[in-house]
Amino acid sequence: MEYSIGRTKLSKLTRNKTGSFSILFVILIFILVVMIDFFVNILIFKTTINEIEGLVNSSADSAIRFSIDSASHRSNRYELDEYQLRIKFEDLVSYSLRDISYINREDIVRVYIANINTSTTGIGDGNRLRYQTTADFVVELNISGRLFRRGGLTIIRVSKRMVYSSSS
Amino acid sequence: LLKEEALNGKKEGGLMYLFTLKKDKRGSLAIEIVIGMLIFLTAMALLLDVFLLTWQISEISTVTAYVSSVSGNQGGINASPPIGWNNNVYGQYSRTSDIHRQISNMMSEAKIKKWKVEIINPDNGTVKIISQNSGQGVGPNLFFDYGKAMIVRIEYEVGLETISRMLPENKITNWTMRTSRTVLGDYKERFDGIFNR
Repeated sequence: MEYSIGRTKLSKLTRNKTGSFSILFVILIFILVVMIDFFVNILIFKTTINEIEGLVNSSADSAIRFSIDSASHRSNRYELDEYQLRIKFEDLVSYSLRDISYINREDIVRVYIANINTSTTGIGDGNRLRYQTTADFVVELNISGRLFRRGGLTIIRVSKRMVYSSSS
Repeated sequence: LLKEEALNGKKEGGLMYLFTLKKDKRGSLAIEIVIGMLIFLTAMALLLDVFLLTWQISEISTVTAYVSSVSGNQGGINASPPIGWNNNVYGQYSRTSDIHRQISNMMSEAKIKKWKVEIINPDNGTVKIISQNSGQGVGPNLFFDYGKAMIVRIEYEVGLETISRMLPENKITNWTMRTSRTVLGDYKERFDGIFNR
């Protein structure tokens, strides 16, 4: 009995078209908000990743140049101070991050160099052996949504390869 | 007053006339459609502005990379090349005026009207303006010795231009954003005045 009453009420409600457009209206606005959130998040992620990549490139370049002993290089020796490379890279990245408006420093999880490898198999013109330093400079960044917060760890890994040519 | 208006209900402009209008549902669907379209257009304008903003920030990233790499390689920015600078060995020297011209072109392409490019010495906190929208910086001779850090900082103004044009009163103000890169000087000045990489 209750079922039939409920059913009648439901069918009456279905037939009653009052406010049907308002419901569509609310759904449309909700879809728009979700779409805007989606696009804004994508664009923020893209901008942040671009900026971090550029930052890592310039910091890695400076740090690796500074850590190669230029005095030894003049005597045809190749010496790379790995400890200094790590410290300089971390310093340069953290210095730069202080002044970027749209990146929160709290979102940066870790800044480090994954591995440093020096060999004499560098590619260059001629058949001479060239020194090559390969290092993976890594910034781990926590990316989460802006309008609807969604936690998650996105690791941005930028690998920077430096080929250092020897005069010998 | 309300009673009087109720008695003269048929009179146009009276309170009862408004009630009559409110009860009349004709055209309400059209009004809702118009309001919906306006909201939809505003949302589209917002999306367009967000895309434009992202593109501008991306362009600024390119400008920062350019200024930081040039100033790092040259060990600073000077109004004229230092003594002993060899273009064949080190490449063409970028003077303050060259850098200002380049930055101005990049900023006008990115539709950024207000900006300021500074180089900061973190050791003593000195701030020197290299380029800004009103014209070239003072053109200071900035030299950072080999291994010395310098901070390239760019301040710029962006805003939601499309949406602010759509709204009747422009209450959306522009806001200032900032980005920076820290690099190390790559040149060593020798006692004889010749720069060395």
